[in-house]
Amino acid sequence: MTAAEALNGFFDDAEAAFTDAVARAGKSVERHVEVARHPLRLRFAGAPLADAMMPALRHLETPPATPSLTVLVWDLRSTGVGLRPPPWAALPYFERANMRGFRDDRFVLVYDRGTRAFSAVDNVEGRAVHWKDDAECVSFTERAAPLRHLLGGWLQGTGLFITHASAVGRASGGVALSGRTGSGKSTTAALCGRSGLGYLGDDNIVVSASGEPRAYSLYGVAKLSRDTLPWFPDLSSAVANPERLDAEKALIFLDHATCPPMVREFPLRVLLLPRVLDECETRLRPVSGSAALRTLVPDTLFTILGNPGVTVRGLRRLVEALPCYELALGRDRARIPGVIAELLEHA
Amino acid sequence: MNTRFAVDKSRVVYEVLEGEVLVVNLDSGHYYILDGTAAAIWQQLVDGATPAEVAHALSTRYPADGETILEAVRRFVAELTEEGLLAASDRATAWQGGSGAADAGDLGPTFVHPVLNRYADMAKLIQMDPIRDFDETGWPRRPMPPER
Repeated sequence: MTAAEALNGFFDDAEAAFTDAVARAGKSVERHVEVARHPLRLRFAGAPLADAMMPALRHLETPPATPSLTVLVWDLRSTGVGLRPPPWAALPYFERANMRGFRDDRFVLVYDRGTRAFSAVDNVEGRAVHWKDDAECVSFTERAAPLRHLLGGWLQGTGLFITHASAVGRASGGVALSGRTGSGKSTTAALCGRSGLGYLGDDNIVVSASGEPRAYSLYGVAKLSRDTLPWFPDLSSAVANPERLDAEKALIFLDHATCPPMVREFPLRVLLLPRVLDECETRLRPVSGSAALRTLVPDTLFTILGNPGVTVRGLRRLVEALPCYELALGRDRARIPGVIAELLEHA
Repeated sequence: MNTRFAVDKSRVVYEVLEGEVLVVNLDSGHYYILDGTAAAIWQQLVDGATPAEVAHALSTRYPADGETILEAVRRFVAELTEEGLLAASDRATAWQGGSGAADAGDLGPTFVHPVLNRYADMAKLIQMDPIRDFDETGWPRRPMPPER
């Protein structure tokens, strides 16, 4: 039996297990979302994982449409239905970043030891499964960025990729903010969103780098540190994890009706590399594409499990196509959105 | 010095931009910046040149530094292979010539020893113990809680 045949059989078994899980759960929850103009159907066996995952995706919800991908989601604890492991022994799998994975042109498999969740995508048949052991144990990352490995694996077949960046802007164009944790990108995005620029996403955005670079929203979340949360008093009542702020960033779910409002996509005009500066004023300084690539590539490759070759080539096209600036963030935070808005005016 | 080398694309990715080479080892989490001589040598090696051919090309440009260049290339190739960025390959295609400098790094008037700038700040994100302990269902066993 070839690996492809074995994986086909694995997906057939997984679909049968999901049917069983729905029967055991007593109901299925179905949601339709659109990611980067691609319709997805998400089917949950029971409500627990739908309740945990959908808040970050609700801004992408659409009426039912013929899906490019159907994702089956369930957990062992609430349904009692397991998933037969994939045929690892028949696959040249890799292990890195707390994950075991496999990837070829058709299939992507990821087991995440940290969250005890498994995702698999069949890009030819347009089917995917996401299974974890316990819907009661959903981590911060799973709530803020649900199905990230699964969606990253699926997007690799569409010419799009997930980038570790935030993005704000208008329909006519926006900026991507890239940098490590602590660089100020989340706070900058939230400040810009509140000042009237559209908020496309924080930490994980979908990017198309072929032709005109374009960013697409993936998760409707803002993540603010305990130090910066008081700067946004209008958001404090919307914090979804108030009891865990000693260990986690404040997680706030956003959609089209919140402030800042979510926007779904815009052409990218500028790439910004923020860093916190101990000065009053916020300043922009042009940087080379290679300097931008140095920030983007390691950050994206090691935090988002996509196809490394596709991701690196895409990021290179991105920095070649866009002017890149270091954004030295001054203490006078009220002025930061104005600096970015003015940059966009002239981009 | 007559071995050809190749990049294992399942473990290493790289891009050349503005004369600088960014190389990422996906297994270790280390990434590397190569510029100048290092970028030129890298480009020639991945294009199929042997270290001897690389040294010869550089010696043509810097005739007074022949022995120095040979030793520098040998050491640099050893460093690249030790870091898992290049591996000897029988299948690597033969070098078609060219200095590589046009694509990767502007070489100055004097020979500068190649430097492999290594960055390890992302490594802790990806290093893990191999998954070897499975339960009766075939999934990795849940880690034991720490003892009190």
